Amino acid sequence: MEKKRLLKGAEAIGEAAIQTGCTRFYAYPVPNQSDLMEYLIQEENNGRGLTVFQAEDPLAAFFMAYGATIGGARVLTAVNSVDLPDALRAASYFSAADLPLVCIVFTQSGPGSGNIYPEQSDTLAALYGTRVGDGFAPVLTPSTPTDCVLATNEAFRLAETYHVPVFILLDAACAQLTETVDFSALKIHDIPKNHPTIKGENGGQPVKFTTLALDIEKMEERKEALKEKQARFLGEEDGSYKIEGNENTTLVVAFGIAAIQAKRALESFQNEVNPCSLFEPTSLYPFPKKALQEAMSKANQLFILDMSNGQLAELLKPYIPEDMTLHTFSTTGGAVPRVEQIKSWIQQAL
Amino acid sequence: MELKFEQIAGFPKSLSETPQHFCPGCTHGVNTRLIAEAIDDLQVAGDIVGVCGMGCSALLPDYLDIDMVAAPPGQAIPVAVGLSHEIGEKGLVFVYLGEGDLYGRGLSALFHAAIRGESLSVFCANNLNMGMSGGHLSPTSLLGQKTATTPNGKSTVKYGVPVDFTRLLLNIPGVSFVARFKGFTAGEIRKGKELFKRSLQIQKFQKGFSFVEILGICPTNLELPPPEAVKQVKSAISGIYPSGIFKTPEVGITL
Ligand code: SF4
Repeated sequence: MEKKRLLKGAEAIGEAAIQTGCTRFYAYPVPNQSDLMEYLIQEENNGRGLTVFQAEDPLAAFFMAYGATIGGARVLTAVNSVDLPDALRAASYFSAADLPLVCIVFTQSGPGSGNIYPEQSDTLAALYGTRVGDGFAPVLTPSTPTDCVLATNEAFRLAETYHVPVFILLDAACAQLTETVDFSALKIHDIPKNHPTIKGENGGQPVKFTTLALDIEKMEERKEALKEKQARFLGEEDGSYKIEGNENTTLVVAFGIAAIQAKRALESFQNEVNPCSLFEPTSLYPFPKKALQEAMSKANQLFILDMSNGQLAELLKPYIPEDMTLHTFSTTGGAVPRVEQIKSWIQQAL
Repeated sequence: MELKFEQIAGFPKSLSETPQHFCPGCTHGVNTRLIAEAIDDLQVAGDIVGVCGMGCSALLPDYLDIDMVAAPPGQAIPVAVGLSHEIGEKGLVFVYLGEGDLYGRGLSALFHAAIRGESLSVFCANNLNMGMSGGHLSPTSLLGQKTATTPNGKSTVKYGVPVDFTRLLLNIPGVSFVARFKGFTAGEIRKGKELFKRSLQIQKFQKGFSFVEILGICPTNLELPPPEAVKQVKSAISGIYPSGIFKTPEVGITL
């Protein structure tokens, strides 16, 4: 295959999944997500070794994925915001059964049916919704198509290393963003498949997968194991991020399409304001808190930009020093923050 | 003269020795044993995966000495579909679950799997109520039946007339085999094992969707001693949920 390809964010995820050795994709077609599904069907027809299956509904897609994973497949699933609750229900079962899952959530404006335009208002739902019953799931937030490739590869690594569900939140604008992805410059990691499967790997003994534990001691044991796994995960993984201009006293924090727009805005300042740094978390769980705190230690003005009613600011709150001057700016309803809007917001504040 | 003995009965190899939690007189115990015997007769213990639903069937993984997966409520069929996609070329996948789970929140998945003709054997234990949850109304509960959620009896006004879901499957081209037996009469129990075997064989050789419903009793929630429960259920279901082989790959629909 060609080393360089012009891909949309949604397609970049599909391509990365194939190159990472994903063998099955289960989903129910919905706006934003279906670009990924259609890309994968095209590649299935090109004989790339992956099978795509359209389930009767999103929840069924997740539990087909559950069965196929137990059967030995490496599986990708995807939903949009509307069906995030189904993904969270599935995450609870994958967590309980110690099974890997990679789920892409195409975020759009909600609640309810809302519209199909981009928003980042599922951030806290994904972060805390995956904590049902003390389960946990890494949450990644790539922005550019190149980042989508890396995040997908990373998601499979995390899923197979810790046997957990992994969520990638991709706003509907990033899903459509197109760029030339240079695969030769990217390191796609080979990921050994090491999750338990149903057949022939238990020394001839039957294998049982159940998340039911009727007695308290058994459930306590499970919870203890889950706690240890989470501690190991948090000890070993720092959380990824990107930073531009590390030394400035003004720091902007944003992710997804908001980070891309913030970068454009900061690049277009011409001595109108002092240079600003941009911190873009590409992982929200684990959150790259050390890196953010270091960036914040040099700053005295913090600008938080997101596309929700302030969910990113809520998430960052514990890390913000008391003496920091905080400015927040959000767009909602499906509107992407415009470069001019961001510029005037920052200019007015400084 | 030397006497030769042939073993005609015994403890099925695929049945584990774990004590079962089923209430005395419950049909689940009979069904579990029949499935184990069918697996032994067909010598497929190493090639079969069972998926159970939620409710009283959820502990089946403890009772069968084969690979088993316990599915969430309403999701046994999707889990089995995913498994079948992955291992169906080499092995068999069957589902065992109660009718409250299958015909309630699992109904859409059942019909879609049937329409697609998934390579599955689905065994549904229909005991007219949701047993484990505490004897609540199920989609097959009979008119007038008292359950924990219909203390005055199931009424048409609120819940409509119960439907025979088994026979609703008959007109779906993807369905190869449909049958039903009573898991509480000696004659039909013997036939039941053959129906399970037939279903699994059809799956093995013809890769079709097979369905067997087992009519059962839940003496605990009927609040009746088992013999009385058998008597009452037998007469109440007569004409509503008949036993028989309704569809086979060979002869098409026979009613
Ligand atoms: S509650 Fe009913 S269905 Fe469940 S085990 Fe007891 S008798 Fe059987």
